[in-house]
This record gives sequence, C-alpha cells and structure tokens, in this order.
Amino acid sequence: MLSEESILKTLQHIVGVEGATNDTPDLIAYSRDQNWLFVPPQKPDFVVKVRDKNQIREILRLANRYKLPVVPLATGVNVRGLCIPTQGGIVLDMREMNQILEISPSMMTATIQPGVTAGQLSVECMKYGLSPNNTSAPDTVSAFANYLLRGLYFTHSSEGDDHILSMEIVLPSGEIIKTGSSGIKPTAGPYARGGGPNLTGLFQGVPGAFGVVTEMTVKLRPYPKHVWVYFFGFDDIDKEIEAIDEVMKLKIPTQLTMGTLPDMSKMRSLDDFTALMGLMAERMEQNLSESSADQVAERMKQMAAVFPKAFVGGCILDDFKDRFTLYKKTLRKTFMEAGGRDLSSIIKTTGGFFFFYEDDMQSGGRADATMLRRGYYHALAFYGPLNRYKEYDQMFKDVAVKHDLDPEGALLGGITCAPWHGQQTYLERSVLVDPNENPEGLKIYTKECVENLLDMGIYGWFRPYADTLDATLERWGATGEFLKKIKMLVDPNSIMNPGRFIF
Amino acid sequence: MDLEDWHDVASSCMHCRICVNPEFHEVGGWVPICPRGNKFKMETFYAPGTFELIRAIIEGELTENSPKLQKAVYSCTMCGACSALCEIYSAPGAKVKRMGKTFVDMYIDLRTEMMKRGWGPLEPHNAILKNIANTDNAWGGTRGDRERWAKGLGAKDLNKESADVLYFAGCTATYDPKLKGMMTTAAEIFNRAGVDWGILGKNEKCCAGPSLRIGDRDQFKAYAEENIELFKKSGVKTIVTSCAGCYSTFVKEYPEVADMSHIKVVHVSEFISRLLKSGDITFSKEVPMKVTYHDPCHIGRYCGVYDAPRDILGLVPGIELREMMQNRQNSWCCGAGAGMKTALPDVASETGVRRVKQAEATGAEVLVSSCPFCAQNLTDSIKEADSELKFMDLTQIVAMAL
Repeated sequence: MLSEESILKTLQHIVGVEGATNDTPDLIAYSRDQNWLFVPPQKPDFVVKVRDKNQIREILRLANRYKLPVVPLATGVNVRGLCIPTQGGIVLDMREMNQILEISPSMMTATIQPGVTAGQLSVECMKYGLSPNNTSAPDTVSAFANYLLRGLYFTHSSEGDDHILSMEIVLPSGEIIKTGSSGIKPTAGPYARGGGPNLTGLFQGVPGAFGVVTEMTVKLRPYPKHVWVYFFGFDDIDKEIEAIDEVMKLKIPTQLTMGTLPDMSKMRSLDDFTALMGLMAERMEQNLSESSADQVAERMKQMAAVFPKAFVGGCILDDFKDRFTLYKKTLRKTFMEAGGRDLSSIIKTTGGFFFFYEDDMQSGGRADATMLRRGYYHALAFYGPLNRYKEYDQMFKDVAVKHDLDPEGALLGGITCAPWHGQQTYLERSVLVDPNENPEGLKIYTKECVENLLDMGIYGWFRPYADTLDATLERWGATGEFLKKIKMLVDPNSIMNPGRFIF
Repeated sequence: MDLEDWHDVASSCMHCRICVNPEFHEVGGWVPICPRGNKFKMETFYAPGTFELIRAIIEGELTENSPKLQKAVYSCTMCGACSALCEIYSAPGAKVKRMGKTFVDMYIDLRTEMMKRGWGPLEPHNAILKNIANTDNAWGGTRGDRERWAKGLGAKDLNKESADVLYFAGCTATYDPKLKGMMTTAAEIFNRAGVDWGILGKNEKCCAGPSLRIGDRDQFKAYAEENIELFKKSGVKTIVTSCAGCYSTFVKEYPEVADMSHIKVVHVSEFISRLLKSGDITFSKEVPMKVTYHDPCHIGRYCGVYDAPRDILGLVPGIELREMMQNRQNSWCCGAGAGMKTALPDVASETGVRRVKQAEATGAEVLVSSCPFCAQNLTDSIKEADSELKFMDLTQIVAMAL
C-alpha cells in the first residue's frame, strides 16, 4: 500500500498540483450534505478535480490498484448522501468538465459533460429553439447527474423519464465503453438501441457504482411556444385520482403534481407554511418572507379558506397551438366534471408554478429551493400506483403518530410518470423538520415506513437512498444476487462509490 | 455576534448552490456570480463549503490553521452575491434575512474568530491594520495630507465651524492621487448646487470598514466610536461620501456600535440624484458617450442603491447607458473588496478583468462606477485586459454635464 503522501503525489502528477488535495478544509467541504442524519458526515481522503476522461482513467487505475474508494461528484449539488464518501477514498470533482459538446438541431440531441448544469443546458438549447426536459430541481443541478439518476421531468407524456440516448463510461478497470449507437464506429448519430441489451440502463439509477460516466447524449424537444399553468382543488381525493387517471390515459402531455394539503390553520410558523406550501407560496402575489408574523397569520387564514383539501397542478407545454388548445380544453373539462375547482387564478399567473420561472417553461427555476427553508429535507420517494395513494398516506400518518411525529407535518405528493402505465406515479412523503427535534423518532419512522411500503408493494425506490437499501436487498432475492455478480464483474475491488448500491 | 451564534445558519445549508449562479432568465445567460468559487472551482471556495468550514470550526472538527483555510477564508471579496441569491429562496438565506443580517456578517465573524485564534489575517492585511493604527488611514499616508485635495475648493473646516453637510472623502480616494478627481468633482457639484459643506480635514479618520472585514473588530469598534463622536461634535446632520465602503460601514455597521440616528448618511450618487430632482443642479452640456455602469457591492447589494446612479446617467444629455448582462443585484464584483486587492492581487485582477470584458461586450466606451476601490481595480483591470475602455467616476460624468 502506498503512503497517503505517495498517493497524493501520484494524483497530483495526473491532474496537477492544484487539482488534488488532502487539505483538511477541502475534505470537510465535501464531507456533508442535508441528509446527515441518515448518512453521517465523512471526509474523503482526497479530493481530485478532473478535467477529462483520461485523467479519470488514470485515477481509476490507481484506485483499483490500491483499492481506494472513488465517489464521482458532478456539480456539487450533493443530496441524500449519495456522494458522501462513507468509506473515505477519493472524491472525483467533475464540475470543470462542463462542456456542451454538441447540440444537434437535426437529431434534437445534446451531448454533454457531467458538470453541465440544467440552467446552462437550457440557455444553450434556447439558441436552437430547443429545450431539454425540465428537471424538478434547481437549475444549478447537474443536468447530467439528474438524467443519470432518472430525475423527474415536466415533459411530453410520450417521452417518459428516460432521455439518455448514449453514454461514455470509464470503467474501474480504466476501459472506456460507450452505450447505444455511440459504441459503433462510425455511427450515423445517437440512438439508444445500438444492438443487444440497452447497456445505458445498467449505469442509470446508481450513483457511479459501476463506473464514471463522462459523456452522455440526451434527447431535446422543441421549445414550447404555448404554456398553460393550472391548479385545481378537489374536496374528494377519490374523484381527483380518477380524473388524473383519465387525463393520463388520454395522453394529454402534462406531468402533473397532486397531493393533499395539511391543515393550514394548524401550521405553527412561517417556516412551516413556506416549507410545505413554499412551492406555491413563493410564487403567489404576496411575498410572505417580507411580511410580519401577524400578516403571515392572516394570510395563512385566507389561504386556508381558499385552498382545497386536495390539489392537482401542473402545466401543458406545446409548440402547436391547435393541439395545445384541445389539450387544455380537455384537461380542464375532465377536472371540472370530476368536481375540481379551477384555482389557477390564485397562482400568480406570471409567477408560474412549481419549478418554472415565470411563464417560461424552458427550465426549472429555483422555486423548489423554497422547500428547503427548514434546512433539512427528508423524504421517502418511491414509485407506486396512484390509485393506492390513500393507503400510502394513511400508513405514513399512522407511523408518524406512533413515533411522536406530527402526522400533518409532512406532505405526500405524487407526480405522474409518463408514459402512463400501471398508474405509475412518483410519490414522495416530504418531512420538513428540524431533525434535532426528534432524531431517533425520525429514524425509526423512516425504517418502519420503508418496511411497510415494501410490504404494501411499490414499484421501486426513486433512488438508492441509504435508508432504503438494506431492507430492499433482503427482498431482492435472485435479482439482487445477479446484480451483485454484475457489480463484481465490473468492479471486482468494489471501489466505485461503495455502500451506495448493492455493496 | 460570535461565530458560534451562526451554527444554526451554517449547518442548515442544503448545498443547492442557488448562491453560485444568478437566475439565468434575469441575466440572459448562464454565468457565475461568486468570484472566489469561479477562481478556484472547488466546494471549499463557494458559500456552501464556507458554511461547512464554519460549522466544523464551531463543532471543534476543524482545530488547526492551515494555508488552505486561510486561502478559503480570505479569498472571498464579501461581495454578498451568495447571500442575496439565497435569501430569496433557501434556508440559511431566509434565516439571516429575518435576523436583519447577511452572509457577509457571518463571514466577518469568521474572520474575527480567525484573528482571535491567531489564524489570521494574512500578512498584507496586517499592514493595513498597522497603517490604520499608526496613521488613521489604510494606506499609511500622512495625516497632514488628508485635506490637501480640498485646497481652494471652498470646503469649510468642520473642526472650526459648522455646515449642513460633512463630505467624508475616505482614505482610498484621499491617498491615491489617481482618484483625486472623485473628490474634486464632488466638491464642484456641491458648489454649483450651493450646498453648505465641509470636511474634517486632518481629523478625518478611516471608517475602519477594512478593519472589520479583515477581522479586527476591536480596531473597528474603537474607530467607529471615535468617528461617531467626531460627527456629533461637528454638529452635521448629513454625511455625504463618495466611498461605497465608508457608506456601507456607516449605514450598516456603525449603528451597532453607537447611536447614529441623528445623522443621515448619503452616498454621493443619492445626493446628486436629489440635487437634480430638486433643481439645485441641472445639466446643460451634452456628454455624447456610450457608458455602462458597474454596481459597487457596498452600495448595491449591501444597501440597495441601484437606481440613483442610473437616474443620474439617464438625465445626462447625450449619454447612452448600456447595461452589462450582470447588473444590479446580479452584478459581478470588481474583485477588490475585503482586502482582496492588497492580499491576493491575482484574484482581484482576474475578477476585475472579467468585469471589464462584460463592460466591453456592451459596446460602451466608458465604464462608470461610484466607488474608489472599484475605480482602482477596474482601472488596473482595463490595463491588464489591454482594453480600450475608459474608467470614469460618476461624479466626473456629472461635472462634465453641468
């Protein structure tokens, strides 16, 4: 085994003296994210800034030789502990690999590096009359990492959530492979099915557990000329769910968010209000952060009077006016006939909705950062059928009560997943709490909810979060074993982000 | 506040990084806003990394000084952009806004703690502190030279007689001969408007804003107390200053030291704007120039003075104001602030050159601002960038149009 000093020198030889460090302040800066209750802070042994795949290849070869863990990091928006180096090792900081290598208007694709942010990609695509798929995340996130971990997208219903056509991956061995048609030389262009199995999927949904993805080509869509942001209130959640199902089966191109709202009259503070309602509140006509406590209380009272028990909100984006008008009319009719109240007007119309900036649907803005106001955002996010929404909701509330947590102190929201099949919905129970108030309660609550969800039947977890993996692996049987074999084959020394997936 | 009082704020950073880039719809492109982060491109040098360092110091995880810690702490220009962006949306920013503070206050407390522990400041900063202690100014100039710039300009000596307005020149413009025009044109404008004004002359002392931002809170407090006492003795009701740093220090920091409610502090741009509105001065000459305006952080993001300079430029006949893509609260810092130009001139220079390039992209001939530190660094950066731009202080434009 090389000494720490020798490893550092070798790393510096690869990336330059300034590019590799084991200085304590640097290690601390990479040691923690907002999920510290479940993934405690852990310093890496080294942080290395890489600029190209050859440097990555050299580093992986070194890491493999000396069995050093490697944790790839794209732009540094590190959430849910996925990039915390729980076993130390090297954090590969790829934020300087931030080139948009190509935008092809004819193929409607963009080829990007890991450090490209959602905002950066949006700005560049706009020049070509194109748009990437909007991530439900601040525009500072890596578009690349979001695609890799299958983010949520406000997109056309026919496109679904897989937008990657091909990828380039540096394997732990140092070999470089390409998925899709990019693996064939020469290729006529990026296409997901390059022959044989779709290898791209192996590297998705796992945070760098099989290798370091260094380049990807993603689908683009025409910049939407017509946008309608809507918000409907329902008193009957069953009717709301039926109406959503109908809208999705009609293939209306909208990815909508639905949920039940907590009792606003019981909210304790502006923090509660902006955290739970923040996605909407920040965009409403009154800037609550500028208001006094009395004004906030009055506003909350007003909102409680107006806001429904359940809501559905989203947008329709289209570049063809007649089609847009038809979709808009049909969606509105469907919700109204199901007892929905059109509350779109209470959403500041120029303020957009949820993740969008004003009336521009080009990219996620920053509004969803409001949900972080409490400073700690804990969520259990999973895929499941929409028609079981009430069962999930009740389970979360029952477990919360059992462990002395406020059952109303969280929001269960659902985002429908296109293309609609099997009622597939992204469901997230967001617990916006100060973890110091009842950390053990939150841990037990999470563990029990994970077990219960697995018992109830879900399609799977949104991402391989630390608090879901162990319980899931126990139930994965032969499939889990098969994945372990693949992992062993690709990464025999288990250097790639160990502990984040399988082992 | 002590550093440990910031624990709740520092530990609630979500690392969402909305502090790192301005909202792209507002600026029309995807650009950085943090000079330090943009230079070093590691988490350690962005606000979220600094938050972790603060948390680690408070929690006892970081117990030793190191060159890297110093580099991380002192390469921040304290431009306040991270705070301005975070306060709109996110947890730490919203929290500090409700406290009536910004992240800059936390960074100042970090530097204060560094100094308490003997971990800072950097050697060039020590020279500034020594200069202030020995000569009452950051540049080490002699006290006798304080009033030289005002000779023959009709300023009253407020040590001997009273006036409506105290013009506080500040150390940087006073002791940098290249910046003399900032003060003399301000004097010319006062005289044209018939303002009853004066100076403290040899008794003018550093505002000690630099001491505070370097981390020497004791020196700052001593100077603040002395200055407030001097202001009281002079009997003035209004202080006008051309220095953005002095302005923000008087407005934001002095009230925490002693009562300043009896004195109104006005930046020269606000004062001139009022003179124009009241008709005390009017523009009579054409100034056919394409100009762009750089918002100094200390009057812009710190104090919200964005409109006054633009209002003035808008009234000057012949002036065509062309905004840079990053302007107002989204401005890119000039790079000079918080002791940067003295201690880390290469970072200051790179930052300034980026701003010059933004100014050039507007097609403007003149880069206008209203701060002596910005004036120094942007003038140097224009040379560094081999640019054909000219730098002018706002008051110089005004004087040309009178």
